[in-house]
Amino acid sequence: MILILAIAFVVVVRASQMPAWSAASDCARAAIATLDENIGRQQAILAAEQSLYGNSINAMDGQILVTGTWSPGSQVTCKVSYDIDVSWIGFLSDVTGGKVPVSASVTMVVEPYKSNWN
Amino acid sequence: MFTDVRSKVTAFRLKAESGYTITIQAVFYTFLLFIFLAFVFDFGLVGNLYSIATASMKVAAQDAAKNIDTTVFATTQQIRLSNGALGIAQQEVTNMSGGKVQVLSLYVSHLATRDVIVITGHVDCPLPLLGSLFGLKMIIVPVQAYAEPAYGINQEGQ
Repeated sequence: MILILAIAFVVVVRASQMPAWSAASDCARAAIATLDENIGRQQAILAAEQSLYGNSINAMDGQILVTGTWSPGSQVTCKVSYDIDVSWIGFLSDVTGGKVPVSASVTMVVEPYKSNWN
Repeated sequence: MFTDVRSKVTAFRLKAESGYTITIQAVFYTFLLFIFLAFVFDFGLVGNLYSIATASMKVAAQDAAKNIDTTVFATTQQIRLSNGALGIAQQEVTNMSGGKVQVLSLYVSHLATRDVIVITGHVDCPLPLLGSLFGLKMIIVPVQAYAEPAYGINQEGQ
């Protein structure tokens, strides 16, 4: 029984860990494609959300944080974090507190040679 | 003659297994479940590392596309990578992946209508459970990513 629970736990956690990095990199790649901070933030968050929605993850308390400055050559960081919900897996949910935190952070440089598209 | 041998073997097997069925099944299925757990755990780890490697290589390729030799570009309109591009790419990949991804090559693929930055590498994925069971310690997964340099002008005459 413990082995079966462990298999369920590992399947859920592993599957939900993977999209964090994809979402963070998609977020950063979208953020640096403009010099306008508002547009950059909007499209970065949208890219991260779409990336996460595209994966069937069992997450809760998700947070997407975009920080940095939008000028040619400056750095923008995108951090995606959420908790994987394992509260429905008996016994192991007590050990982990019902959730497993996942976090991914990607920093990229804003396009230095691109025309100033606003 | 063969039928005789087969019936003797069957009789011997039935005798040998009699009384042990439950024990054999319990041991067999526990071992099978553990192997299944090992597969799920280890290949889940491989998938997780591959997703980190892919993300880091995409980021490195896109950032490498910013490290072009501007002098060569300004004079010949050709896309070439600057000297430090490979080192920067490896540094970025190392920072993101915790040193598990190695960059093997970084080059510009000159196509007919555009230039594409190609980065290749591999990620070393450990297999802790399968390694302890069968000695399969690690598998190496190749990773590749592409990016296209974005360039333009901010003002007329540039």
